[in-house]
Amino acid sequence: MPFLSIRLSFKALIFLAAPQLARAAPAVPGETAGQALNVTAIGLFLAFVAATIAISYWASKRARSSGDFYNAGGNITGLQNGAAIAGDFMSAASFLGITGLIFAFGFDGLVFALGAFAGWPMMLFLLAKRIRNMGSYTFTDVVSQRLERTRIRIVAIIGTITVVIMYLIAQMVGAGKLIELLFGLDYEIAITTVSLLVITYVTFGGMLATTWVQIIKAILLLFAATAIAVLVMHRAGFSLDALLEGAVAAHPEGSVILAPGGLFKDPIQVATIMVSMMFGILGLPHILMRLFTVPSMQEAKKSVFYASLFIGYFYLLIVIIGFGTVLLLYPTPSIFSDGQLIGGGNMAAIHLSRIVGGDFLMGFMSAVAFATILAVVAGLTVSGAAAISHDLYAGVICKGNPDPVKELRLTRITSVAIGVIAVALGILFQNENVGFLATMPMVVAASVNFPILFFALFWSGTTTRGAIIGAAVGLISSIVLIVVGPQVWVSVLGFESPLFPYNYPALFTMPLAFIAMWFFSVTDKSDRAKRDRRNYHDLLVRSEYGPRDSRLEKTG
Amino acid sequence: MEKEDQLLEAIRKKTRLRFLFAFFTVVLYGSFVLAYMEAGFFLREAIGNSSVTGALVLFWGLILIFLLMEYIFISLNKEKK
Repeated sequence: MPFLSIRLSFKALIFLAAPQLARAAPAVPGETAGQALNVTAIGLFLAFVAATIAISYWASKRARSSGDFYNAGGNITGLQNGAAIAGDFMSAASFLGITGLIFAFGFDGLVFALGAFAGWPMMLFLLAKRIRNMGSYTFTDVVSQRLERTRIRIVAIIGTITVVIMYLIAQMVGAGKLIELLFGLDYEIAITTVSLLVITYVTFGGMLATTWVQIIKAILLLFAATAIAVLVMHRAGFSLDALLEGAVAAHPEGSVILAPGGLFKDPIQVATIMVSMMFGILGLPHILMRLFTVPSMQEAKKSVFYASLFIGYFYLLIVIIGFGTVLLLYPTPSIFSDGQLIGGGNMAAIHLSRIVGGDFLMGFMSAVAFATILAVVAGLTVSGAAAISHDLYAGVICKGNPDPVKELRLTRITSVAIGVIAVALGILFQNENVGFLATMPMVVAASVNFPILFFALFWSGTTTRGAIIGAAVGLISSIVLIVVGPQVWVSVLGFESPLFPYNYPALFTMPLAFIAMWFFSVTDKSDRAKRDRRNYHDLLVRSEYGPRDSRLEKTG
Repeated sequence: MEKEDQLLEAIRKKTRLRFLFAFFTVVLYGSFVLAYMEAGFFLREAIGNSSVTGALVLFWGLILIFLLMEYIFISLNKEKK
């Protein structure tokens, strides 16, 4: 019975399956075996690469300014942007990691799916319109409208770069391992290929090319997921009850898999994951940046709604696909080796695609997984480049008056540099347990970026001092609690038991950041604080009605 | 001055609506944790003669409710030309 060893190997998936925590699911060394060279997968992937490079060439003719580079000239429609957001957000881990968790533990894998979805309504209700009206290219623009420009930009840049770098490491390590598995390519070749392609997209085509790569990837992923779900339902006689009954009969744990508790026993543990996921989404710089690619606030709202539709549909399918793996993989001994699923737990969805759709569907899924990684890394690269060239160079060093030619050149150089750094970090961390790096972006985004944004947009009392200290408290507490939590303290550092019992501390660190922000704002009696508070009124008008009504006091 | 007051009142109204929708989202989202508590034992049970548990229905229901809430929110906030 392979279940016991599968159960152990799936410890890693807890981290991988958080869709924004590690977009590409890294395999655990020693647990995986590479696949034979998959000709269909490589053929389909080459077709994808050819199409996206052609798009980059087309986009390069249109990217003439740094504005074009950062936000595709603001000419993306709501529907296109919604698809691109979904493409940026729905990850290889969403598909492979969550499906793998359901395969091993049943229902509890859906905690991550709900967490990954629930941030989107909040994005629409609280942030989409106001951010679109207040900023130009990045969320840093938004907060620097009312708070002291230089200092708050530096804080927001630190938040952005922390999230982007952590994401990128988890992404690159995951990409290398996944591509090694799916395509039989060497790890170094895999991550270098990812990096070269992303540099090509981003450097030449900027946000426009990135947007189209993400749109194509979203369409491919939704199509593949739909095909697999339909084929699974076909096997179950198009009866949900038959699917679930069959899954219960196939799984060693029986009917337990249909109810909560297979993986998580502690409700607080579930709450920590859910808070990190929901509020982390609201502070992800590369996702927030997409709100500026549309021409109006109406289109920004539509973008989020369409993204929710795509993402919600995807997670509804995940239930069928997840329980489909249970139904069809456990009774298939040929896909197990030494008691383990061949290729490791992350491969459950890939094996399922072969069982229901043969080598072609498996190849298609593998190509989609590779495309997914490219789309996500491209989004992160644009965001990182904008943080350096727009937020730091143009906003801080040039005080908002940069030479446009130099800024665009710096943006492209930064994109290449990020690509090179990504490969270096990918190689450096290839044998490390990157689970903790994968948890950090969401927790930091929820505890640093989101509190600054929320208070800047909704609380008149926010001051620069309060925002900076609150962000620092959020960042430091996040890092400390992650380090002393189970994933680093026990799994990486080798201690027997953790000092803090949860891996996702945003449930605690986000309120800490808010409290610190509030306290150090209300006790701030400086002249700058008075200006920050006065700015709120005009910010409010502008955030609801756009820049035309604004009489915002110039900050500096 | 009167126009500005009206503008601010309209913004306050919109902000209240935002917070109302966000509040219900957080409450509904939080209800998922109930499935892991003693009080949520009924969510772990199968519904009727089917294999579908209350928790699965809750998962699907939450996604659909959130989408519906988004649609209502957008409809309520349609900008007047």
